[in-house]
Amino acid sequence: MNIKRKLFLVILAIIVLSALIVTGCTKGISRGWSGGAVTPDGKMFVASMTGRIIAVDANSNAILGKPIQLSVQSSAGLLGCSASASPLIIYASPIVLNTTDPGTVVYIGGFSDGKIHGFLFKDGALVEKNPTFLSDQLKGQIVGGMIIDNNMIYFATSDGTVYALNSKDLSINWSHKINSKIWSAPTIDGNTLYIGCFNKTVYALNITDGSEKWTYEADGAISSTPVVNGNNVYIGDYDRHFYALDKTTGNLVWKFPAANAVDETPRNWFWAQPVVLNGVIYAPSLDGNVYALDITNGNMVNKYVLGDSISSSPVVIGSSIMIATSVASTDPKKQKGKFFIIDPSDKSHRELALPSNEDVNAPLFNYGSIVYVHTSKDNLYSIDTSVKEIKLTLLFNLTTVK
Amino acid sequence: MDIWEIIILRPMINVLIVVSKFLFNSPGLAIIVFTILIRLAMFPLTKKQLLSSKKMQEMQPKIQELQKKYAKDKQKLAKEQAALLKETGVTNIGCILPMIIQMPIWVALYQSISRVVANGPEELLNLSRYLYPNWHLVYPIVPLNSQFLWLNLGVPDHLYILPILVFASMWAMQKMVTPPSTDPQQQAQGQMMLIMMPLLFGFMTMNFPSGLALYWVASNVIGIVIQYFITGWGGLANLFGKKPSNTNTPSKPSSTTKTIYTPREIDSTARHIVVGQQNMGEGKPKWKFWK
Repeated sequence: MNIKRKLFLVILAIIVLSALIVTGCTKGISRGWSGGAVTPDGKMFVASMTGRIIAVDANSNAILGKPIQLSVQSSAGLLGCSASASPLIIYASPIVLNTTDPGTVVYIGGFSDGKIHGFLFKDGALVEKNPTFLSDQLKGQIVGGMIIDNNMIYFATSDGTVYALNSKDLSINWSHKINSKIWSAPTIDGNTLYIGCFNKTVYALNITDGSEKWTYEADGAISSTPVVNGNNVYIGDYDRHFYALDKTTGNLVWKFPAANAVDETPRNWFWAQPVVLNGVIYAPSLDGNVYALDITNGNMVNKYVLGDSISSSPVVIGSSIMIATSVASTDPKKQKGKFFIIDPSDKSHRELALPSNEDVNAPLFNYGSIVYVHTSKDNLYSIDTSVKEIKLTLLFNLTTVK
Repeated sequence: MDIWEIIILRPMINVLIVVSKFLFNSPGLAIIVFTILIRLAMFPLTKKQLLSSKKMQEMQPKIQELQKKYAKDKQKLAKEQAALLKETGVTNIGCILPMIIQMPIWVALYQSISRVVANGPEELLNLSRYLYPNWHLVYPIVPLNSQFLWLNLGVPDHLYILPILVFASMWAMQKMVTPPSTDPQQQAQGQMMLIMMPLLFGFMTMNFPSGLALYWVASNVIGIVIQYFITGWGGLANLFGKKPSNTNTPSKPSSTTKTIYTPREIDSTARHIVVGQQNMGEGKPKWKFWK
């Protein structure tokens, strides 16, 4: 065998082996972007992009106990590269239930395992999950958030099922199959659960048994979480329309943009959950604008031009709206999110740039006047909006914090 | 958004979505049709590349002859090879250039499909950046329904049917263009490539979204059809029990056979005599034709 042939064989073997190893171990690009939950007494629970559940004292910013690592066992693959456990991917923000017995319980919805995990917060730390706090009958990935109402946990999975679980043992109380991908989190008002689906339909379900009360077919797919205010349900879709529906009948009250105002059509999808403040609904769009609409008739009151995509759901603090943007690129080098404070009183907005190249997709959450921002670099920032000199403070990197 | 995304990727993504709109909202059908359309658009270049490669293959016996003859005189060998290339009108660049020109299109098609069959939230958000705001047609249909036959186009095919199809179609396509060689070393290398590359792509398919695998299968099948019409069955002819007579497969030169190279155009449309073999022993010219 001459040298040329040997070289050819070696190079070929290297190329083939490298490709097999790289592609064999390649996972999807999903990383998750969970928000957080804070109890009234300042116990904050956040989920990292590496499957860690972290408890923080929001008053002192001290870590409480040790973070708990959640993992998912991948199915066996060739070359043994998928045999190891990988960190749980989490999109749904944690939710907290305070009870006298067993005490404070934190629930996490997994994307890569499609399970609800429950944790006790005991003696100042999260306790390893109890087997009774792990759902194992669900089939789909969880993207939208969960909601607790009257000791029941409501959420939907990507395989198109809406679930009601008993918070005590995570047993299924009822489930409602929709046969469409669901990434929206449910909203509950009274005895009704509202949720939007990829099949362009808004569903109103009876929370006692999951039966359908009404449905409304929109023009585009829906992944945004609805908001209920007064007699209406508000939600936006991928066809760039924003709807007000009668919460009792599902009839259309108004639609933005109106048929005679197509030039106001947003240039991209409605993804984040809207917020209501003083008779105006603020609908963030992936086109980088926040559409301020009169809640009674859908007329545009103002348009806040923030520039980049808005996929992170905003929060209202006092008379201001806190909101964050992202470049919506999967390339970390291109990411450059920003934080904004919208002041509707003078229709102004202030910008606070994030210190490094990172996007914000996770919903914002707050503890009193302090807003928390979880970024694509797994950094958790806090912003105290009550002080004159508002600034971003890096609290932790959730991947590395001990 | 960079220049590549603006000029190539974004238009391709939007057209792919629109095509699926008119094909029963099926991205699977859209991928197949779009791949065929792109393949047809690239046909002149593909044809040029295949013909150049074919010519080059058929010159191999002559080149080997020269290599043997001038084994000790590299300078003379280079000169004779250059003269031969000039005589037959074949250039290395003629084989590679059409392929290089087509590469960005294939890369863009590959990237477009991987974005259109977005499965996770990050991927879908990323897709939103590429949609044309004024193309109102695309918004009501995204995200596309990822179900196609037994497949979820956003995730790998867990039945492993597509990986097998990718392997088989790629093997067949390569087999058609792999020339039989008299050199055992070259033959071994050719055989290895014939197995390794399809095996590699088949394995990659097991881990890639099946939308991409569907594109590979569609692209290979249309590639086989194009190759058949341009160069015949090639190496596949033996499998069908056919003589590869219309494929211009170079045969081992015998003592009574002399290979001559005569580029001669028959008409201006497509029929060319590019290379001919004349069996001097029988004294009857046997010209090889292809369209």
